Amino acid sequence: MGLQIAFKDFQIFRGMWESPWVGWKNFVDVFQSAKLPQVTLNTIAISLYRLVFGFPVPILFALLLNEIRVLWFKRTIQTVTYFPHFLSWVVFSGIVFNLLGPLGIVNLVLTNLGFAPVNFLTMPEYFRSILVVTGIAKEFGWGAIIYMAALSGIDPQQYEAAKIDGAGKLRQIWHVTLPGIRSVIALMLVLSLGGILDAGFDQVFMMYNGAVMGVADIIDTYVYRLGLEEAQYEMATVFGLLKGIIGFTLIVTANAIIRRMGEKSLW
Amino acid sequence: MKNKKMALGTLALLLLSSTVLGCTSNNGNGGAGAGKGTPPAESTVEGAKPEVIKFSYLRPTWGPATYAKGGAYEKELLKQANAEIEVSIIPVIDFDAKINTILAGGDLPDVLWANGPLMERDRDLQEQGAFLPIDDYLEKYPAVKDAVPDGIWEQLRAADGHSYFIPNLIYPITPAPIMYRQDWFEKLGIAEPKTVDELVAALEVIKNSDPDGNGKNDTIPLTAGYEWSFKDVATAWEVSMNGWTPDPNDGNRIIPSIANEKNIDFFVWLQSLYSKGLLDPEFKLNKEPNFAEDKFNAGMAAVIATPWVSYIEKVTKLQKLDPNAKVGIMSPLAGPDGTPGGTRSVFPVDRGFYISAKANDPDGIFRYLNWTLTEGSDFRRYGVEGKTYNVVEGKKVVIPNEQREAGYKGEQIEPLRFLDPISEKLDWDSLQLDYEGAGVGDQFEYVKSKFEEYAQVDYPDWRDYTIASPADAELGARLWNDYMQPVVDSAIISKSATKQSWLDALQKWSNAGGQKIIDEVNGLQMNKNKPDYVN
Repeated sequence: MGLQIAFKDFQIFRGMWESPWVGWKNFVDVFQSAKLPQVTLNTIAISLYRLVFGFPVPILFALLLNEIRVLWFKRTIQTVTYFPHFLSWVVFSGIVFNLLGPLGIVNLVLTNLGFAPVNFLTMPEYFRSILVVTGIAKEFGWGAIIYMAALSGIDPQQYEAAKIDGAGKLRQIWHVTLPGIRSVIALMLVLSLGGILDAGFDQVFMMYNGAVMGVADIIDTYVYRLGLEEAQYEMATVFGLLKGIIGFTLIVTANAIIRRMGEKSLW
Repeated sequence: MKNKKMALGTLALLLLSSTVLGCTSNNGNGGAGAGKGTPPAESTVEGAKPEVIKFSYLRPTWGPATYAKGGAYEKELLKQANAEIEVSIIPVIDFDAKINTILAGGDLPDVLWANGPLMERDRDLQEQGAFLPIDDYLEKYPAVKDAVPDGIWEQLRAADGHSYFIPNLIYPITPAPIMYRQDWFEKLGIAEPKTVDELVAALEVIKNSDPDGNGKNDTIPLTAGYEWSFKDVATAWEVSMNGWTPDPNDGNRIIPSIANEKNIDFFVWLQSLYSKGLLDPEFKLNKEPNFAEDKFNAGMAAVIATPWVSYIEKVTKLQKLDPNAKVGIMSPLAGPDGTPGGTRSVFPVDRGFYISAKANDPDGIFRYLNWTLTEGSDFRRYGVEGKTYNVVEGKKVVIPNEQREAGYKGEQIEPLRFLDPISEKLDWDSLQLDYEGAGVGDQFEYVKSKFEEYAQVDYPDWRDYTIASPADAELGARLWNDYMQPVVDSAIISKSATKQSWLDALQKWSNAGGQKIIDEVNGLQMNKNKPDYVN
């Protein structure tokens, strides 16, 4: 219902039903926006970096955890790595700022070692890497849960059979563990592709600044500034609608590809 | 299967009805009708127990957002006023985004702060009937009307002839001078700078020295919380920060600061301070609103651009750390070409509040406001004796915030403030008592003299925002976001930002519709004389 705002001159107090229709005007405004190419490119680039570098990390972490036989150690590691997930980006970005900020710990170490301080957070060449690495650091523990659950479903007899056949640890992982969780990996990949236009608003919003805006400004931060700070709800709705359509198309496409590959798909 | 379909159908119907109902409540025609032109009801029936005034209230807070409902001050206030106020606060830094979200939801509190009719969104909401016309109530409660100068009421009046908005008044002269550690300057043998060049030289000395004696050259030479903190330093370039000033090429036109080359030069100067390590490296990076004040008050920074009203806090906090600490205020600095500095005055309204057209008891709200300006005036202004002020030699002396009990601290009182009359906005007698109460009474005349120096030369915003520009309303926000914000936000802290990159962006902004806005503003605003907000 709310999507009709994309086609209206939305007047808050009159409500969306009473607001006048304006046809495609809001879409024309969005496509005429000089920032559109930049924020779209940034969004896709950051999302792809997250996918390429971030997607395998929880899988690898789950595989490593799966090999730990000392229960208390395993649980301690799990708890420590889950914990950052429960911190908001407001808090976690503060930790990142205290680490990488101009007066942060890394710069303290650098200056004590006789190097010049580096203002990491204002350097466009570092910013996306910082986003991706800190994003992974915060979420990889939590992301591993689903793979841990999948791993617990693998029949132990398969490992025994592999051992009898002479497979070492790596061979067991390659021939038993990974095939055992392949369908979950495929499922998670489909879902990740659907969210490719969500490059992580909270994190970017808390960490970006004027100096890195050229590489950090994503669709959601642009929509926040225009839609909420400047009360242009129509443009925000247009972006939301377009994101929804593109995300849906990506999910359907990825799902079809995975189904053709013979994996378990969403539908 | 049939049952499943029925369940889904029912769910869809429920969702549809809740959406329609939600949107109906957002429509608000009934509320607007009820509010418009309805005469104020009688306050109380003679002889009956006065009715408790109940309303909800949403406002921004400039201080720490640590308000806890039901504190000691609040209980005392509401008991005296016979009121129950449901207060919600928004830290001022998030104000615009959050108020827009609340407005879009359509569920308005009875009294809510907003930017007022100088802003297109609020002007539009007035026209849509979201807010209550208050003319009748102003007549009925003259204390509220008299709290605001007639000229301001007139300027804020809507095109339909009604008043809707109750302004939060501020004194138009609010210097943001450069304060500095006078004891450190004396220790390092630095004379108080009189020009921006002398300031840079002083900052260089501080950068290469150890004024706090901790064995490291780690004192931050200059800090500031925001660009706006430098509004009075910018006057040394003849710049009215974020304002419109006469076009150097055509005295009959005004142009915005982004199109003013001197403003660009000022930003380039700030960038040079940042790149040389003279300006706090966390400037525009640290998201903590009070980081600069905290650093100066903790003895980590030597110089700060800051509002003049923060002097007491700085001295008292620093002297707790170091009893020999002294804070000086630089006189307005002269510019690189000798331009005399001064202050960037402001329109004497900083936001304000509306009464929702759907408010249940608008008369009660005005009864409450009237009480705060009449019988409750002393309580509003000074609070509770022994808790927020003491009587010394017959005068009410405010207790400094640090010395108050938790329930009476400023952050618990600010959320309950509404309207202070213009007569209290620059009351030197009252301010002197504040200085004496804080134990820095001997500094009062010094600070006052500095205030007067700044007030002598005024660099106001020449644009009259009561005249709406449709082009600005339609294009302004998008053009700013698309073209100018990236360069303005990066101008100080980015190594790659240059004057040319600003000029290039300005050209694109101009071509995309910026020039249309400038032309329209100049066409509509016939009076281009220098505004005088003080008189």
